[in-house]
Amino acid sequence: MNEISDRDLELSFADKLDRAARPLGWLLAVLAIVYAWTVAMAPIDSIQGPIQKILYVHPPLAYGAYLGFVVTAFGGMMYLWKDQENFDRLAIAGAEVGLLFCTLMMVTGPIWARGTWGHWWSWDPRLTVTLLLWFIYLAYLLLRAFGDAGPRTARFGAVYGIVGVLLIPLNYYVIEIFGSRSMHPENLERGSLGDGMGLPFLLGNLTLGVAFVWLLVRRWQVENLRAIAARWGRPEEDLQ
Amino acid sequence: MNPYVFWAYAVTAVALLGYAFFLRSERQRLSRGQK
Repeated sequence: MNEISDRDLELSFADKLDRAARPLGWLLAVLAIVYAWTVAMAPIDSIQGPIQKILYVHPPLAYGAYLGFVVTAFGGMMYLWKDQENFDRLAIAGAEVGLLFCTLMMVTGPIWARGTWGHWWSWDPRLTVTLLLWFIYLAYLLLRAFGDAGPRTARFGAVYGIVGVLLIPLNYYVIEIFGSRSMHPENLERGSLGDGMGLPFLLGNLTLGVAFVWLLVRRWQVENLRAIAARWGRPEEDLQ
Repeated sequence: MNPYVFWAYAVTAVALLGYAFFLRSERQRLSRGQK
């Protein structure tokens, strides 16, 4: 296969990602409006008061962060197995979008904590493991940004991403492991939410889930375009 | 509106929108002249 057709294949894949992202963007715009409306109309919690409405954004951000890091591990595994760069690019996209969601989870959590516990941060097991998770994926992105662009760094990144994802079950179940020593509330279960709180919570998960997928596809597309530009130059440079 | 609730949603919305615009500009920069 010659150089020209390789480039065309890469451009065609980036174009497919673009076509996949467009309807997702429109769906997200509609969902965001409905989500905002249901959060505004949601009942006020009898114990926490209006601050409990942070529930409709904080856990969905956590699920997005988990999903991003799972995508990184999946991309890494597929890269090691198939040796296709597209999977490595998916892994980078997953880590970046996952880290964004993780950061926002760690911003909205302390805001909620300040209003209910009276302080921004506590070295609670859940918060500590979340901070560790954040640093692990920050290190992954620094490695990918400043390491060599070759397959050696990609293979190391893949193994790192697969090992890193093992922290997610620990992050989720750490509250149950530490029991009453954990300050963070227990994981949500069926029946945890009061009347009228299920719909905004569902819409929060749906909206932020679609936002996650949309951003992931866009970020994957950018990573593909960057690789094309690095290998063959930007398309406009052909014209000069 | 409760200020804690406001800030939690405002920071999330601004960060996600900001990131989306960054990706859009990056995509446009890299694919300029492609078609």
